[in-house]
Amino acid sequence: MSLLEDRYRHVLRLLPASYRAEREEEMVDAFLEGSAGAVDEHNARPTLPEVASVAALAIRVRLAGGGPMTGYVLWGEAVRLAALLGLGYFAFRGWLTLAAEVLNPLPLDPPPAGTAAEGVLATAARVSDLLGFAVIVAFAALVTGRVRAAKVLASISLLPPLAVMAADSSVHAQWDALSWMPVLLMTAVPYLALMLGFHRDVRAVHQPAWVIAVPVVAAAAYYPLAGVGGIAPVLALALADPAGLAIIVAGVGCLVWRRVPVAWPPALAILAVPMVFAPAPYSRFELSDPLTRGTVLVAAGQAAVLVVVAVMLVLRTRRTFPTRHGVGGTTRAT
Amino acid sequence: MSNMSMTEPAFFVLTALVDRPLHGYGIVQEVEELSGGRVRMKVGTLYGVLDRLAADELVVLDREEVQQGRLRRYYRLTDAGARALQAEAARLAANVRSATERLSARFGDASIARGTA
Repeated sequence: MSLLEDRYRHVLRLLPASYRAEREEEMVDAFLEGSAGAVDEHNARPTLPEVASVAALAIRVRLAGGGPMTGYVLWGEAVRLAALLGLGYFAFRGWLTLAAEVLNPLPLDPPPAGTAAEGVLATAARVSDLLGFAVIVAFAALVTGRVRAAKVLASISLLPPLAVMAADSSVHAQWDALSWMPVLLMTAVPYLALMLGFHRDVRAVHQPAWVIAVPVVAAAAYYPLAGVGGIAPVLALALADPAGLAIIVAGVGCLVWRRVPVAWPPALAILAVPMVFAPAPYSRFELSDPLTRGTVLVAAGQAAVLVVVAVMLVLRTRRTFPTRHGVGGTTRAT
Repeated sequence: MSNMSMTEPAFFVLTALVDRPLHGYGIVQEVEELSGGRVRMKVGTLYGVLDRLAADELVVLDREEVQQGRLRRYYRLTDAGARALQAEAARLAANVRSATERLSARFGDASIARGTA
């Protein structure tokens, strides 16, 4: 076996074993035929575009978009559902912010107490809130099957928090990983699920139109409790993290209700992963007053329950997902 | 495939298989030639396209051979694949006709024919 062949076979390990069992030899044959003239003395290796094409194929196979109900199709459905739920959550957050802007507007100029740099940061955060409304439209686009528009809009909505993070880092002359990692993870997981799960093999699926209204209704119900308008700060403490609570409630529902669609438990488990890290910033808090102690206790307790629920969801997924994966469609015609 | 527009690589792969069954690298070569060197498919891309076309029953496995100890699979176009290609070719031809007519009205027939508009 030549060095190039060995390296290409190594790259092919990105693909699932069942796919390699079906395709590896002919892929190696095609690759080596196209690489005629490459010799070990030149330290030949697969080009980056070749590696990228295998990586893209691996994603499409592992998160399959259709065909027989293999585990890969179900994982694909789970990731796509995670994207829909994640985007729905950010749409909910967008509606909450919009409601606060309309019902309880803050002055555009930051308070004069801070330094000029802090003023820039406050303005950046405000602009971020406003531009973040793109995610509301992104969610509606995904629900109505306009995947490309959803991806573009979700990408746009990602820019403001990144800009705020950059502004924060420049103001404080360092990147505050403990504060930003949970936010980054919570944003990145649904975004990656959207970008990777809805690949070109996936048929556009239209959800019922009423799904668009779910974040609006949820925001309307949550707004008075959230303390956004200063109405109920104690309840706001108890409901410190609506995403974590929603995952716990839905996760327990999945575990109790046996007839739940099989994609739901893994989708919720995927979304639970970043939420587990949500209390990380509290680790630097000094627990000097009851309010801080309560907040930290709620956040830590919620994270602990999330871990338990996520593990149970994974175990449920392992029981319900098919373990055999097939590569369909290459049967010989008679 | 019927509910989705055909991608350019899929179009070229089906076109490459019109005359005869081809194996993986044979398809890569044929597609490159058909596209005038513009489309050079990577192996991962090729097999992604073949998977989709096979799942839609537009191509099927024709035969297997062993060359230099390695498996070589040949794929051929099905009747459904030929019909899908024909429909796509007609759609593209209609697009070209529309564009050509508009450009003719703007620049005149001679310049369009020379490609110098």
